[in-house]
Amino acid sequence: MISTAHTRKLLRRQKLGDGLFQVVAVVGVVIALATLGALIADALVDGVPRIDWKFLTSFPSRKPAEAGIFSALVGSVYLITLTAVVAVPIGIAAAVYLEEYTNQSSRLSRIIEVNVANLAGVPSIIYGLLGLELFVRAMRLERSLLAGALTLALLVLPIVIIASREAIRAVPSTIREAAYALGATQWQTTKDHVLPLAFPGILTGIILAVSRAIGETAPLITIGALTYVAFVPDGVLSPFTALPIQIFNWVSRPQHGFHINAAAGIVVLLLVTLLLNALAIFLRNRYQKQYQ
Amino acid sequence: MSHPRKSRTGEKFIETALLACGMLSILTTVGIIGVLLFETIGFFKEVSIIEFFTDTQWTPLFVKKHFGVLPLVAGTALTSAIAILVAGPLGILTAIFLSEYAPVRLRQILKPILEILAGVPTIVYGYFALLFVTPLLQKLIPGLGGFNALSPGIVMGIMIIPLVSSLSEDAMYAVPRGLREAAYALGSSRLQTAWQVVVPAAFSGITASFVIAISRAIGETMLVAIAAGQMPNLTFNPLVPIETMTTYIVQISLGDTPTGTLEFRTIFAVGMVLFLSTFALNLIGDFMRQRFREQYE
Amino acid sequence: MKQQAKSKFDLVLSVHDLNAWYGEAQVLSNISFDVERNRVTALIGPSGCGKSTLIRCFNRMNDFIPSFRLTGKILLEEEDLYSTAIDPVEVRLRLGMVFQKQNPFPKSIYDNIAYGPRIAGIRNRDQLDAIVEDSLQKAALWDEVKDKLRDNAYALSGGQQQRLCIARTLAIEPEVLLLDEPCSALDPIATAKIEELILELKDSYTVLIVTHNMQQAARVSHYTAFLYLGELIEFGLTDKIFTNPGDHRTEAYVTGKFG
Repeated sequence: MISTAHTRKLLRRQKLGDGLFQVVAVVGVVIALATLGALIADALVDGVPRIDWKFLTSFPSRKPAEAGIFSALVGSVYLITLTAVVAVPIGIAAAVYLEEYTNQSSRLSRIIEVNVANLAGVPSIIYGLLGLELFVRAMRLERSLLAGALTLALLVLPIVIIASREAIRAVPSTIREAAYALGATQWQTTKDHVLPLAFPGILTGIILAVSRAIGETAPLITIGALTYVAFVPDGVLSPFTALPIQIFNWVSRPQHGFHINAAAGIVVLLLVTLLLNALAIFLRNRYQKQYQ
Repeated sequence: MSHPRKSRTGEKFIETALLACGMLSILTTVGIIGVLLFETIGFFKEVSIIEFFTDTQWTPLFVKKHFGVLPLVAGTALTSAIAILVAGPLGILTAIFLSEYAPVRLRQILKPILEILAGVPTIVYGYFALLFVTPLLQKLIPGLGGFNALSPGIVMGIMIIPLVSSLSEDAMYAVPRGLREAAYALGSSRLQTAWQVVVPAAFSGITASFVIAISRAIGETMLVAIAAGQMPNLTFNPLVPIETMTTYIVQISLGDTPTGTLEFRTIFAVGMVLFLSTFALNLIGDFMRQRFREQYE
Repeated sequence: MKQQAKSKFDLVLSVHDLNAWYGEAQVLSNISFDVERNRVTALIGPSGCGKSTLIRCFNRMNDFIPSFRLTGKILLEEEDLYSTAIDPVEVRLRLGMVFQKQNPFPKSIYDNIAYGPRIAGIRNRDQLDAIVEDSLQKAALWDEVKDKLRDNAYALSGGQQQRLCIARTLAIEPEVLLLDEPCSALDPIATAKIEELILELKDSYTVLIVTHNMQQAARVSHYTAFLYLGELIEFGLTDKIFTNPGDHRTEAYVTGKFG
C-alpha cells in the first residue's frame, strides 16, 4: 500500500511538471506568434508610410522615391487570372474523375493519387525548370505571361485537385443514389448534384491555390520573368513582371530607399494573401459545420 | 411514357475528357523527370559524375571551372538543419499543446493563426530575415555576416512550424482515446500521458512530419536566395555566407548565361539533385504517415 | 425450382435463377419469382438475408459497387434488364426507387419533383407544374406543401421528406415502384402515413417493397417473398405466408421466433 504522504508528494511533482510544461509549450507557441507579429509589424512600420496612390500607379524607376508597383500589380492580376483559368477547370475535372468515375482501388486511380501527393511536395523552383524547358523553350512562348501562368497552373494543380476531392467525397452518397434512381446519367448526377454541393469546399481550395500563386517567386524567376518592366502587358504573349518579383528586385538592392519600397510592396502582397487565406479558412469552417 | 434511348456518346466523351485531366498530373511528373534527365545527361557528357559528387569547389562561372556540387549541398543541408532544429521542438510543443492542453476556444483561434503563418509568401520571410533578424543577430553575435545561414535558417524554421505541428497533431489525434484514458486511470498526469503514451504512439506520424518539413526546407528558395548569400562554401559554419542549391538556380536564372551552354545546364544537374532528395524524403514521409494511419484502423 | 404467383396472369417482372456476389461472398442464390401487375409484393426476411441487395438488382443500383457480380435474368416485360443492349439509365427510369433513408436533394420542393422530368427532356413550364402537382397529390403531400413549393425540401419533417421522395419517383412515371424499407428511418405516425399511401397506390402501381416489419408486409402486400441467408425460402399470397406457411423457417420468422 502506498502511503498517502507519498501519493501527495507524487501528485505535487506531477502538478509541477504539468505546470512547467505548460509554460514551456506556451512559450513555444508565443515564439511562433511573436515572429508572425514581428514580421507583419516590421513590414507595416517600414512600408505603410510609403504607400500612397502614386506608389500604386507608378512604374518602377531607378530613383526609389519615384518607383511604384503598377506594372507588377497589373502583371500579378493578369498572371493569377490566367493561372486560375487553366488550373481550376483541369483540377476539378481531375478530382471528379478520381472520385466519381474510377474505381477507388483501381491501379490507375492509385497511381494518380500517389502522383498528385508527390507533386504537391515538389519544390516550386523545380516547376520553374519544367516551365523553362517546356513552355519557354519547347513551345516557344518566350518569357511571356502565358508561360508564367502555365507554370504556376501546374504548380497549384495538386492543391485544387486535393481540395476538390475532399469536397466531393464529403457529398453524401444518398444524394447520388437519389439522382441515379431518377434516371440521371453519371454526368448529370455529377453536374446537377455533386458539384453544387461540393462547391464551397472546392472554392476554398481555389482560394488557397490562388493565394499560393500570388506569392510564388522562384518559378517565375526561373522561367525568366523580368525584374524591371515599365509597361503593362498587352496580351498573353507579352513579357511581364509580378509583385513578388518586384519585391525581390528591391530587396536585392543595397539602397535603403528600395528596401522601403520592398516593405511597401510586401504590405500590399500580405494584405492580399492574408485576406484570401482568412476567407478560405472562414469558408471551410462554415462548410465543415454544415455537414457535421 | 416512352423512354427514348439516350445517346451515351456525350457521356463517353466527358469521361474521356475527365480522364485526360487526371492524366495531366502524371504527365507533369513525367515532364519534370524528363526535362531534368535530358539536361542532366547532357551535363554529364561534359562533366564527370565523379567530379560532380567529390570536387569540393563549385565555380562553373569562373575561368577555372570546378563542378563540385558539395558546397551547394552543404549550404542546403546547413540551412535545413538549422530550420529543423528550430521547427522540430517548437512544432512538437505546439502540437502537444494544441492536442492535449489547449481549451477548445484557444485551439480554434490558434490553428487558423498558424495556418496564416504557413500562408505568408516566402519572399516576405526573406525580407524579414535579411533586414530584421540578421541585424538583430548581429548585435548578439559580433562578426556575423550580412549574409549567413543562421538567420534564414531560423526564420525558415519558424515558417515550417505549422507544417510540423499540424502533421504531428494529426498523428496525435489519431491515437485512440482508450490509450489516453488508460494512462489517466493509472494516475498519469497530462504531461506524463502526453510524453509517455501519446507521443510514442504517434511516433511514426511525428517523424513523418519532420521528414516532410526537411524536404520543404531543402526546396525553399526565396528565403535563402535573399538572406543566405551566393557564395558556394563547403562549410558548416552558420555565421558566414553560403549558397544553397535553390539559390544557385535563381542566380543563374537572373544572370545572362546563354541557354544551351554547359554553364546553363548546371542548373538542371543541381535541380536533379534537389528533386531526387525532396522526392525521396516525401516518399519516406508519406510511407510513415500511411503506417500510423493503418496502425489504428 | 421456380416459385410462381398463383395467377400467372399479366406478369410485369420475372426473376430467373438470380445469383449475386460481393467479391467472393455469395449474397443471393438461385432466386426465381414473378411479380404481377398492379399488385404489391413484399420482400421480408431477417437482416442480412439479401432483400436490399435483391431489390437493388431490379434498377441496377448495384452496378456502382465494383465487386458486385450477378448471374441469371431479370425480365421486365420480357426484356432482360441486364442484357448488354439495355442502358442502365433506361432501367432506372422504368423502375423507380425510394430508399431506406429519405434523401431529398438540398433544393426546393418543386425542383426535387421536377428534376426527373427535366433530365428526361421536359422543359415546358406548364407541363412541369402539372407533373409536380399531380405527383404531390398522388403522394398525399400536396395539401401540406402547396403554398411552399419554393421552400427547401430540408425544411420538411422526416416523414414529409420521404413522401416527397415517393412523389419525386412517381414524377418519372415508372412502370414499377421499388421501395427499400421506406419507413425504417421514420416514427410510427409518419410510418402510418406512408403505409396509407402505399395502400392507395396498390391498385394502380406495381410495387415491390422491402420491409423488416412483418405487420407492415401483412397490411400492405398481396404477395410476400421470404428470404433467408440469400435464398428465397417461400413465395406466395401474403395471407398464406402469414397464416399457413409451407416452410418451418418461414413459420419461425413470421411468428417472431428469430429475426
